[in-house]
Amino acid sequence: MTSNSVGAVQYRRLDNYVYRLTVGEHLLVALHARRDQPLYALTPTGAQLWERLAEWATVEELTDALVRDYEVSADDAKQDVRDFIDQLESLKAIEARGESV
Amino acid sequence: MTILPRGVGFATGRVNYAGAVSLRFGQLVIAFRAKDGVTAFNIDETHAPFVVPTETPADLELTCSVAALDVPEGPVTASGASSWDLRRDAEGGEDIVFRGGPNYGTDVWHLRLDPSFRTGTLTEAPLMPNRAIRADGYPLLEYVVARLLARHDGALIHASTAIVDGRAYVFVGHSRAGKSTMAAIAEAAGAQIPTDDRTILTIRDGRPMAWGTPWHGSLIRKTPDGAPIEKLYLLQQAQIDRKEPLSQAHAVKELFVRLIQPRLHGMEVQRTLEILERIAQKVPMARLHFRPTPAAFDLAVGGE
Repeated sequence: MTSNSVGAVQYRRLDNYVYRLTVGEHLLVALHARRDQPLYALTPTGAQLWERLAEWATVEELTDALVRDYEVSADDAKQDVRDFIDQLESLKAIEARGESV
Repeated sequence: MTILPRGVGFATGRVNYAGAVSLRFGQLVIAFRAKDGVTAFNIDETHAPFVVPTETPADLELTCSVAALDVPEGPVTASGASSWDLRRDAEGGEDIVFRGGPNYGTDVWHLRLDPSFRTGTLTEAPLMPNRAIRADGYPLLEYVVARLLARHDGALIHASTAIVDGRAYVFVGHSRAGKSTMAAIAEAAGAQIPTDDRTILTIRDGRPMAWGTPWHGSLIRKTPDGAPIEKLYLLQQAQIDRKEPLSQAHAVKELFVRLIQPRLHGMEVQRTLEILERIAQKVPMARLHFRPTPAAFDLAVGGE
């Protein structure tokens, strides 16, 4: 699955990461001890997308959420969502279902 | 002077306790009880200072025996390199098999923790001639303490601790950061050193506390002593001694990545981060750029 696989593809976060807003920072912690890099910092936008990914969501739906809440163009928001999805996939932090178009 | 260069040490003896033994780490008490009431427990004498009376209320009670291991079946939830495998059941109970011997090739202990993590069973394979249960077995005991701390408002971290005038100065760092070096300098300056490698952090009566542990490092006589934390330092060897304050968020992250605790349960991670937040909000943390000299310790304790 890549960022080019949009359309009907839906994403949802896995439970192998823990999110916490801690003293003003959005932290994502990898569960299981042997992962070399246990801790990631999210931007506020990334944290919002992470929360949204508690339920299945498409790139389009995630983009709409950003456009609704931030002063950002749909094109820029979609690119940010794609980049974020790519990063989460590389961390094996999300799962995907559905057909790419 | 009780600190020796890394890799140099005295062979220590073993101590037996008939039928039961309880150990305290920070504010956490773990009770080992023989299933048959008579089987002995055996610990290294370096752990003897951590023994408390068996009637002390325990946070975890383990019913223990020596028997062939009945290793559970089913998929492994998580593994610690080659030294242990964990299986979690649907109710939240856990079975952990710890291995030992050459290349961790032998199943030695089977620990069963009930979902509450307040009771469990420990079975040791009949490998030792005296059939005593090694309550301090590695990595069994350190693993149990680390997991329980995460559920009891505590954390286990790579850090040495120096107690001066009843206040703890905690020196955090990965291996070779200078934890034992700073501990040796502090001890020479008259500080009490409960640990030079692994410190327990807790909150007691709203105050962040640091406690000694028996594990690792070069210090021969570690102690369970604890004290309110005055300062937290992240060690960084340098050519000039100076302190660089860290923000609370930075402090939490630096502390978190130096924890010993396995990140096996989301709730434990959440609670651990919460404890680190509370500590960082109450205790200033700085990066201590230091040369291995008494002046660096003086700077840590009071100087600017």
